[in-house]
Amino acid sequence: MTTNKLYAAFGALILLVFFYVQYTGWSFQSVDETKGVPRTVRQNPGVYRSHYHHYVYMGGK
Amino acid sequence: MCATKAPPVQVKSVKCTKCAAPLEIRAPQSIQTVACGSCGAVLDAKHPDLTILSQYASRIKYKPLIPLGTKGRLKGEQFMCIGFLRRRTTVEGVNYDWSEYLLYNPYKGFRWLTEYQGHWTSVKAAHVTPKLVPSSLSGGAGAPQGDYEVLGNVYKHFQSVVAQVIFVVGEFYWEVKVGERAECSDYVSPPNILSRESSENEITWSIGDYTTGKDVWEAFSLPGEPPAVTGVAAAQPSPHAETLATMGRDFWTFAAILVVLQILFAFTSADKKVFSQGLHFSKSSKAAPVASMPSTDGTTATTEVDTRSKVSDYFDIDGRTCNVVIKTAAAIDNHWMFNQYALINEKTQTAYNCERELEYYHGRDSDGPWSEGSKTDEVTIPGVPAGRYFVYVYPDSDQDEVDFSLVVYRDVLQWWPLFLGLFFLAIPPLWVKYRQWSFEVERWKESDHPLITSGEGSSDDD
Repeated sequence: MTTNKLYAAFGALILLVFFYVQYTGWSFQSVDETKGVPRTVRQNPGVYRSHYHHYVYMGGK
Repeated sequence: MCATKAPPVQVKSVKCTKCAAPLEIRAPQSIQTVACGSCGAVLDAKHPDLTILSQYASRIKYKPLIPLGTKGRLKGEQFMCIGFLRRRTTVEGVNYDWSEYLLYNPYKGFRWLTEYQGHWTSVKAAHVTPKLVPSSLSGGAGAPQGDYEVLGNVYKHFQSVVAQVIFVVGEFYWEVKVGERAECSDYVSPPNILSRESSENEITWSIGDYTTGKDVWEAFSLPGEPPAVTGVAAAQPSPHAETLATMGRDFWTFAAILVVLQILFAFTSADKKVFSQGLHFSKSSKAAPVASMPSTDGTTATTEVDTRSKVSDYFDIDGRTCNVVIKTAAAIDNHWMFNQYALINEKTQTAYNCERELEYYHGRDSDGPWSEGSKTDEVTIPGVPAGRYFVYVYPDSDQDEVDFSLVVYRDVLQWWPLFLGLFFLAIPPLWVKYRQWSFEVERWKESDHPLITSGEGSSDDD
């Protein structure tokens, strides 16, 4: 019986998480948030450096 | 209540005809034989002189766990233990012994309590003739032609053995003797068991129900603890069955709610295209010298400004805080493209940074044409509030020139939460289902129809 109560709580938790994920559009994909981007970024996009800029992609082949 | 009132039992004290050991006859009107526990003689209880019907000399004397003469209330009815016998069957050279206790109540008649490896079964004669039904199990050694049905309950054939009495003491309602053999077939419908016992000139049916040692000990107020339980008994109810039934029902309820919620989100999500723009990547625009200025050491340094970075036009995202999906399509051909994105809020200057890789390769080899990768990709940015935005993108590619496009959507329905939710919901019931199956494997292991046949057991020596 305890097992069934635990499962009921687990199921309710799954429903809550599901609702939160769908409502906010949460995703597993890695997205980083940065505050205070310089307003000059539109005039000179090269000044913007996201945290990914240290990464150099070498290609898949 | 009259039914539960202790019945009057007249105890008759006699002496064994063979060894003169004192014997007590507790059901003189109902029994035919009495076996002496001291010398092994079986006496005719109906004869005034207690003539000896059979005798044996057993080197092993078994002590009944329920002493003869012990009274107890089993399943609400009072009984006295008046007989004990030990039976044995031999399968592939291995002896399997079990105990049987004969219980007596002048009003209710006889009951049996059987004990095997700490498992107990309360047995009484079947008052209806079992009906033969087609078997759902594969035939095993000694398997009959089918299962049996009693009062709508189907009992599956468990095993058929030849049982032999190896020890006997107390009173019995038939002419019991050591060495007596009978063909026994058991059919199970946990917690019940149906037994068919056939000897030379009669066939008897009995129905039993599984009982725990604790219940027996409490019923007869026996001292100490009942013998430890080993393995799974034929009629033992699965401890997982009820859990599995309830959990299965809960699973389908939760799954239905998930599906309904998904349908509601499908109807309410906007899935609205808020922006699209075509862009161009050129390797030559990687960096351009824009200024020369003197450095601290007096030399002249050239400063390069990155002209590869792009920004899109402004676009508005309205409505509630929701996800934003940036879809990219790039004209790459046997090349890769790697984009670093930032969705930037004009007012708050908050950027949502992410990176995506596209690669698309194709060709032809000995197996024919092949391709891998994709020219399109998408990234989901969660929790984006309403506002005016633009997209910053820093593209890179091993292809000299790439035309690519960005399409931005808001409030896009996601399907993976539904499938992941169903997956997680299914894990506990599947685990209990596995444990239930393991329990049944253990139950049927020593039957004529094991669920799993070991490699050694399945080998054919012929």
